[in-house]
Amino acid sequence: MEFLKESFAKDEIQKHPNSPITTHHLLMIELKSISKSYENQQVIKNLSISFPPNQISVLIGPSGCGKTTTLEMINGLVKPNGGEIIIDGKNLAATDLISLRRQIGYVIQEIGLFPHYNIYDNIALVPRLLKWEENRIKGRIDELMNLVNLTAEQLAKYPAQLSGGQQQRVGVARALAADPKYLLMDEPFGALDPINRSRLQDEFLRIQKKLRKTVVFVTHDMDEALKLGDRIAIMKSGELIQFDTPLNLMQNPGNDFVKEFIGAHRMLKSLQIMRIADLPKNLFQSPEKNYKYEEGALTFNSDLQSALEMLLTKSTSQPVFDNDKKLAGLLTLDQLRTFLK
Amino acid sequence: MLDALGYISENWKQILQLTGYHIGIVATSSAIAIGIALPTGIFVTRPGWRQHASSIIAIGNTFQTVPTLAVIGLASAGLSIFDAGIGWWPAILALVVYSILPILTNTISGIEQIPQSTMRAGKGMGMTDQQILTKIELPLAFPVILAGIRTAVVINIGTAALAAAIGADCLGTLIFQGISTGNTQILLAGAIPTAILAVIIDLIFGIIERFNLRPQRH
Repeated sequence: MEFLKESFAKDEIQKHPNSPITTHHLLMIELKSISKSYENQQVIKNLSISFPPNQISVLIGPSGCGKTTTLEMINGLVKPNGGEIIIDGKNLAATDLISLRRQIGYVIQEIGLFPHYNIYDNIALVPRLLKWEENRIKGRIDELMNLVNLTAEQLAKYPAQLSGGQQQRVGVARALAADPKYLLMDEPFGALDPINRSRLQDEFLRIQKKLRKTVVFVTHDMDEALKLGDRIAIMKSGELIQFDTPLNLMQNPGNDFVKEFIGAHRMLKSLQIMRIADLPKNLFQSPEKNYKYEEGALTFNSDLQSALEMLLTKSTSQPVFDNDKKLAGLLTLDQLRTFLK
Repeated sequence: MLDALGYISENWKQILQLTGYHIGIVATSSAIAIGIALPTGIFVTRPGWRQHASSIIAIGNTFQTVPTLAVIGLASAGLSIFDAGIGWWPAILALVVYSILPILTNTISGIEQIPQSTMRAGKGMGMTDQQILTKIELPLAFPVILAGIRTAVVINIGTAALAAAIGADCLGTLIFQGISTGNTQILLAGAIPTAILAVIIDLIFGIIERFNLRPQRH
């Protein structure tokens, strides 16, 4: 966890070179020693976690681990019994929840579109609560429809006339409508079929690359967590077990529970996540001849899975190019194997 | 039957007047019943009150179990304490007691059938409790509430005829008059307009309900 704080501070210093380090509160969601019980059952036990700005943090764990409760405490739908929640440097207990919620996008598995509103009115909900002018809302909705891959003809339709995948696109557009700084997502793609789920995940990653919201994402699907999460928080019975990058979770699982939860094929999954740029530079051999960049050749951006595939199916030594398509060195199957061991 | 039509055409002024009284009783009692049942239904579906909803419905059910004529008799006897046991007001009281239940139960079930997720989405996006009530709950429950009002009003049109027994002027006056004098023409002159009135009002509600339908998945 130490490295997390460091990399954080580093990020922020780069972004605000002249401001003191305390500005790292900006855009951050911090939970401090949170506890929550219903009747006699304690569902959250002394939970402390800071969701870093502009990143996707995934909460994952077996059902009943408190991940959804944690999420719903951030927008005040659930009130903690103890501890405090700090958003943007402000204590949630002293914040007007209604106006806070209008600044936090919220997407849920059941989607929760209003069946008596057409798509336009559904997306316009929060901007209207914020009393935006109708012209501004219209412009914003045109923009959003583009962003979530929906067409203008769909605006006049009612939710029941759209497919599940289209409805959740509307759900995402509605959450983004007032351009919130934060996004809370509670298993948003959980009810979709695998093809639609993976498509919406890809689209969401593309959107996030552009918008860089501070996202807290709840899921029970480890593949989804590994695909979307910049950081993954593994929870169990109301406690935080480990909060780390996907790669660190796979390479240094904190305990057996984490190891088991990440599940089988850890190695294969980590190959999908790691890129050639993550490999130590001394792993490359200097090439004996000058290779020219070709379409499909390995670059720093290629993931290790495609690297391994090429090493297995083509030749056991492959040229690797840097981001400017200049030759960086040779990668051999033996060296990759040594690294992975 | 033809004789009855003859009677109606000869006495249409009186029949029209009685129809007007009849509508007046039904409209007044239905309006009061809506005024009581709708707020009560909304109130008992608020958090913290939901567990009382079933006992409220039980009370309404008890009222509904009492036979119609008995309710009218009891209302007349009750109001006679205030020297108002005869005529318009006991009839209204009896009909109000009788129409509360369908409107109340439909208001409660109309609001409770709304998926929790819809309300959670609304709340999570920063709607106030009042906005959730007026923009989500009432519009979504409206078709069910309207069906309850329709049931209450249509039953009321029939029940109001019985109010003639306690001296309220309405189409029932002709029916009772026809029965007591053995005159089928007068009986039908009261019964036919009552039946037509019930059918017309039901049709009007049907049209309102159809207008309110949302487009569904095609």
